[in-house]
Amino acid sequence: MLFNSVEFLFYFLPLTLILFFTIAARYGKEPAIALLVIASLFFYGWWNPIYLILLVGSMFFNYFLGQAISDSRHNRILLTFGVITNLGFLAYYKYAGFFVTNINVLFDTSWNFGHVFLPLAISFFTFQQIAYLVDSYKGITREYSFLHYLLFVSFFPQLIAGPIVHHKEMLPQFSGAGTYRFNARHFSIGLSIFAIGLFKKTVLADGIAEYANPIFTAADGGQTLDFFTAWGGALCYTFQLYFDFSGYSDMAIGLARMFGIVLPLNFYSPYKAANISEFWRRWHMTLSRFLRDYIYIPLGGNRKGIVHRYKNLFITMLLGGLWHGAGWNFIIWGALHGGYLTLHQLWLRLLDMLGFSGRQSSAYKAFAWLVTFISVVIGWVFFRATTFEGAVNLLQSMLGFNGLSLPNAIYARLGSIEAVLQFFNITSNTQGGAAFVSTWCWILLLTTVSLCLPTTQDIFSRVTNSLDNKSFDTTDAVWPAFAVTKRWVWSPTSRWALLCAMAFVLGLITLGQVSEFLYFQF
Amino acid sequence: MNYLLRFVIFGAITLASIGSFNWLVDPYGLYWSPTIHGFNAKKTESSERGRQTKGYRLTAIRPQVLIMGNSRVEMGLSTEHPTFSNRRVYNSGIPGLSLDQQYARTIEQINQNPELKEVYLSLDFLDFLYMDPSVDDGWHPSVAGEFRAINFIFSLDTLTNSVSTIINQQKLANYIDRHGVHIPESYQAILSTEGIRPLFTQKLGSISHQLSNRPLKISADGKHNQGIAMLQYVIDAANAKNITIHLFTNPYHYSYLHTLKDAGYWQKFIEWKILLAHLANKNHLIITDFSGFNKYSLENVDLQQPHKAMNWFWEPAHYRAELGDLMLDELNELAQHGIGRKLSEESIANIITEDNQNVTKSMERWQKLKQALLL
Repeated sequence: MLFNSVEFLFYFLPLTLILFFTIAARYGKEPAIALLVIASLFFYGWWNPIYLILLVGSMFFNYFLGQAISDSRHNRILLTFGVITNLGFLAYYKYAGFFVTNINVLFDTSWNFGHVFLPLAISFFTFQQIAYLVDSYKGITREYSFLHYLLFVSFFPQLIAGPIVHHKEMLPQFSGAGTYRFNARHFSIGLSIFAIGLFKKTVLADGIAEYANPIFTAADGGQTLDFFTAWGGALCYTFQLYFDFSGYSDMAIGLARMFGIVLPLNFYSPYKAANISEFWRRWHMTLSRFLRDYIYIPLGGNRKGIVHRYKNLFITMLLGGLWHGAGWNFIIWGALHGGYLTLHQLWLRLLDMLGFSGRQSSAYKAFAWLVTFISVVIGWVFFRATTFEGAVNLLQSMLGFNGLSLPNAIYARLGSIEAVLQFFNITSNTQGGAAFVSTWCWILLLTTVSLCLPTTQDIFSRVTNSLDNKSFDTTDAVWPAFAVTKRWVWSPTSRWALLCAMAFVLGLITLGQVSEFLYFQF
Repeated sequence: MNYLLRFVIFGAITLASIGSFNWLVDPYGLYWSPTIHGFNAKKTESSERGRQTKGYRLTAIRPQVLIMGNSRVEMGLSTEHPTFSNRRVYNSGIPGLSLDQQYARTIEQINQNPELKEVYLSLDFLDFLYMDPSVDDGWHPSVAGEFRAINFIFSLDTLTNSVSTIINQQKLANYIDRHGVHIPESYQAILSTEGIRPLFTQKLGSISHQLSNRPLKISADGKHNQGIAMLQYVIDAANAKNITIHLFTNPYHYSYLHTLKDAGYWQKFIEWKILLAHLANKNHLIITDFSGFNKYSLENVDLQQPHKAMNWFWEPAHYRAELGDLMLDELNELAQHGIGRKLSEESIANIITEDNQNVTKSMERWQKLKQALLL
């Protein structure tokens, strides 16, 4: 079931909310939790009930193993068994086909693994439970109630695409009595955040998607694209992914808040980042946290010298790429970001060696932002293209290898500028002028939105949007309209009620053209 | 007032405002709510929505005369022609509509519209080409897609299209009028800015690309074609209800016919006409062939005056309503202009000879045009 679907918005969500608060009021906390678990499992099983077997089996296994680990006091064998079993299932469902295909190519064999269906959200609930096992091993957390554990893993607002939550973040909230009383303030905040998320996903992300998809399809199909078309496609996807994921994250936070639960922050204006490290502090923040805590630091982090630090960074990002999908393009994307992060560290060292002190200047920040943004866009080309050849094809066009041209309808209207275009070898083509104009208008609009406007974390900072206390943070970031927009803070006024209601209604009237969230595939 | 209550009230007002606005502007010409010149009279967003909206309009209008086909008849046959005076007529031509859907929609009208008296059904060569023309498992006409008018009223797409409809009222833009006719004003815009050249290069290039990439056939055995078999269903359905059916092939500019020839499709084009001639005799009906060479299809393309529109064609594949009027004259025997020929087993040999001679005669002219167009 999608958050942006009729069945979710008009049936599932209202019914779950009513039942939850009614049962909590009449029968208390535990029956209300049981209801929420059943609702979450129903939500998950809506796509395909067969997936439920794996999810429920995984929760049983990890809960009882977690108990055993906690009881055994640092039994490393049990932990290793748990991690390997979890990763084994993930490997089977997500990576076996990819692995066998590559073995066949490498050794000219013809092994056939058959078609394995990828269970929805397996990467998310697997990582969440590995973190639980590790935290149990370290003695950071312990769960005494199986029902609470089921809710911790399956809570529907964050089950499908995160945020990846820690047990210690959720347990106190599930145990608190205040969670089980309907709170109009929480509900108002949650509904308003959800409305903004719905708008981002259905109006902005889906709106620009129609200009990105044909370009990547053409590139994957081997078509030759000109410079402007290729950049148009890459930038449209860059913003589609941004508003898709940002919208989803807001909707998840908003939904949880309707139940009185505050989730961790997962997304904080990453395209404002002026270096790649800052980008990763703002994009899919709970995944970055997981990779840091459970891969980078166990690998040695920055404790064993510079060379090891860079190696660890690279390996962590490579695995981060692989986490997103079983394909070489995801591995290349991870490797690219590993390379970016390493280069950024080297660059900082070089600046320190040169005694450069202008890192906070506007000019330096603008330059750093541009380099960061272009690097991220190049990465997204591999992330989105379905084939390696398609990605390379698009990148070649973005580098101008296939020429520069404008639609004839525009070219013919440029008058005297035509001579200048000819000087730069910019020719005309027979593509549609209207689509070209729409593409670049969308890019301009969404660049402005993502760079200048505050995110929901900022807007709802006074009422605790998330478990993170970031607000209007400009550290290592650009924010062109900061002085104007820093006052845009939500309060329960008519103005905000109108804005959020309009966002909600605009989102609602797209329901005839439902589309999935991009991060559901991971 | 409570924030949630204000949220609900503002939401309801927003939703009602959007619905009312979309209904009033009616960007796809679904409801034909009051039209105001300069505000919503030209439904500039309707031309791409015919597939979804024309079925609904047919149900609402219940025409006495139905025009069916693809974009050629949608642009080319005017409902203002005197032959339609005092009758409810609707042009249900839809760009790129498959033959299957054209005929399914026609049969649906024949069976469900008791007012229907006449059908004008265009026949287009490319629609009858198949990768494997031998496959014929019988045909069960079904009209695709359920239409829900409410989806168009409460829709973000409609809202943005309502806004652009208002903005584009003064621009030269394509639109569909209340009788389903496609008014192709964008051709005038292209002619005035880019000239006629891109109209020809783009269309001829696209036909050439479309045909040369796929080995399409008319018939595996020289006798059978799925399109003709489906057409027989339409003829039978019309006969059963005593509905007059006018069958005719669309006119093409000579450059279009030569592009077919260059792509290796000339013999298939002839083969198609032979099948149509058999169909005409079998059913004792008239099929008028407008797809030959004549003074209209051989109209000169004046690249020296690129911003001047042609008299009979917008571009190689689409004829103007002026030519459509002459076709309607001939179909209704109101006048003879020398465009149409009756296809039958008796006439087909002469028609083939005439077409073969004319394609040879016009070859030099085509070569010159090709050179001038840099094709």
